Amino acid sequence: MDSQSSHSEPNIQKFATSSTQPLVLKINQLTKRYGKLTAVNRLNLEVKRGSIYGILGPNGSGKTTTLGMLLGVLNSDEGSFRWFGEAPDKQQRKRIGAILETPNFYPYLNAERNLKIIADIKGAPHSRIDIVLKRVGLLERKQDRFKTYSLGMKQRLAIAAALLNEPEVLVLDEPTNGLDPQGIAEIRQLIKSIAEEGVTILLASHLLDEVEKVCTDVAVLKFGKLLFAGKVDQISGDKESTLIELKADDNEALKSALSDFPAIRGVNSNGHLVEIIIDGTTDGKAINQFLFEKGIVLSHLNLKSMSLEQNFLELTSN
Amino acid sequence: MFNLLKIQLHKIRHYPIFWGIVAIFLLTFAGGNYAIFRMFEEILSQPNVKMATMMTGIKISIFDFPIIWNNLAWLAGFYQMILAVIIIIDISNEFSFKTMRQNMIDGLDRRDFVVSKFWLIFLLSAAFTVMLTGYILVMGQIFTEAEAGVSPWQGIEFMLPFFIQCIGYLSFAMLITVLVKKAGLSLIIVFAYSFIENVVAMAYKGKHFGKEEDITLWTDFLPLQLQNNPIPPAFFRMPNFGPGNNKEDESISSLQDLFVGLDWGDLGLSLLTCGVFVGLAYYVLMRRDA
Repeated sequence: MDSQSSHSEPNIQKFATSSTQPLVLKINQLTKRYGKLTAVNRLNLEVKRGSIYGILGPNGSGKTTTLGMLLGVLNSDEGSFRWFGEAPDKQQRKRIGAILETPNFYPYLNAERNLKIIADIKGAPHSRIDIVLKRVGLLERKQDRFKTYSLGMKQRLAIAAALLNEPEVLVLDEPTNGLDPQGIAEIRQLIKSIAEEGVTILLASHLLDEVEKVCTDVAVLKFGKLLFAGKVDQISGDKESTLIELKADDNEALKSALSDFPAIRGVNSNGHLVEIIIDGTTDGKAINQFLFEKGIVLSHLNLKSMSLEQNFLELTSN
Repeated sequence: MFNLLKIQLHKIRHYPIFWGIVAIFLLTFAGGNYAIFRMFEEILSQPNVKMATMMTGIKISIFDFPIIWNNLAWLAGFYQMILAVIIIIDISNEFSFKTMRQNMIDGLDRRDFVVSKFWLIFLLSAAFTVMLTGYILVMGQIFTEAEAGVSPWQGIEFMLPFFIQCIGYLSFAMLITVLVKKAGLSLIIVFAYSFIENVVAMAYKGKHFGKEEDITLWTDFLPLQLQNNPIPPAFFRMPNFGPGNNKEDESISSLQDLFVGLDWGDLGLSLLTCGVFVGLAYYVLMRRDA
């Protein structure tokens, strides 16, 4: 991508050049330590142009630390990464729009003056300011100081700032954190509409639902380690595993009998039901027959496809 | 380079606290100098005042050309503390608002950040130096008797060590703020350190006053003294002034004898100290996560 200098360039061009460089980001063995704690542990990732890439993990899994290194804010201890196939430097960061953790602006300045600072840093013309403010619905409030903004407005202003230089990549860290349902819906709609223009999006979130609704690809992190990386439908589909709800008169006997069942991955009590996870797919007949031979008669059997949420909890539990 | 200046100006131009401190600075400078002015006016109006009268009978004051240049440059050094407040608040804001981090995300690097802050230091120092130069020219004209026949420009070179001292002191404030990040703590450290260092240095100098004035003391190598050294106030050399008073120095018979030119070696050390402060601030930022 070398045609970013033109600001009026139609987005279609971004697609045209994308085929020559399919990888926007490549992370190789990236590691960050805080004393004895390894916050990010030999992380490898590849982000393709045009994808909406979710980085999913519970709080403290290393999402923000990873983004911090990618954005030149944190120094890495080992490993490397390449944006647009190049070694990292500040020039690439001008091609990226990014928000890390919270929207950070000068509270005593109004929105327009805050964006002037960022436009000058990124080398974007000041004429872009009104365009991006309009895009996020803050044009009427541009003369108001940042400190008078609500959280949702702050978040939208941060997205406006990230869009100033018509970025090829948008990096968002928990963009809906702390927002009310309407604010969440607005932000998600905004992200989707930006993605439709061909902007690659890297989205860190601890909300499965968000990743499932917005993203095309997902990487799951836990304790700084990559547990899974692939398409969202891959993780949310039921190809990998099946969740089965069971009930019998004696659930304890049922549980102990189940421990002999082949390919069983986990047994869990959920109220009056017993939940099990089986590798691969299975049908109810096999398990029913197995239990009947052990002398257990089921009063309830329900095959559930594995949702992303369950997969996520499964992947990230100890 | 100039883009970094532009970015820094955007940050302070509409910051009410910045203008508030500038106003306080101007008021303090005007008020402080007016007080000194009145004091000396009073002294000089009395006949045969020992402190301000030369043995030759010429009345002199600290405001006479050419010694006014290093006298007032030395005195004005104290007002640099108010400018340091601007630096401390501006830089600690970048940490507390997390805007330095955001600036880096948006495309500055740590070097750019230090350069943009150095621009602010440079501008404040340049503005203060220009203001002081104008003030000295006016005061010198008022106090110097025409028959003394001294060029008002003699001694203007002392504005150079003053300018460098101002840059150095504000760079010191930058270094401390980069280290501790918090405005309040930085203010206390910068002020307390300045106070302690100057008291220690003056105490040692006072011990040798009137005996071995040219002796080099270990206190001369303290960081802030290195920047003070090129601006020795001439009033310490004035007869009957300071701790060694009642000294009758036959060698001083005119204003010119009180005037000692600029020591370029001392100036070089002062400049070097500035470089060390800025370099250390950069080094700390480089090593640390933003």
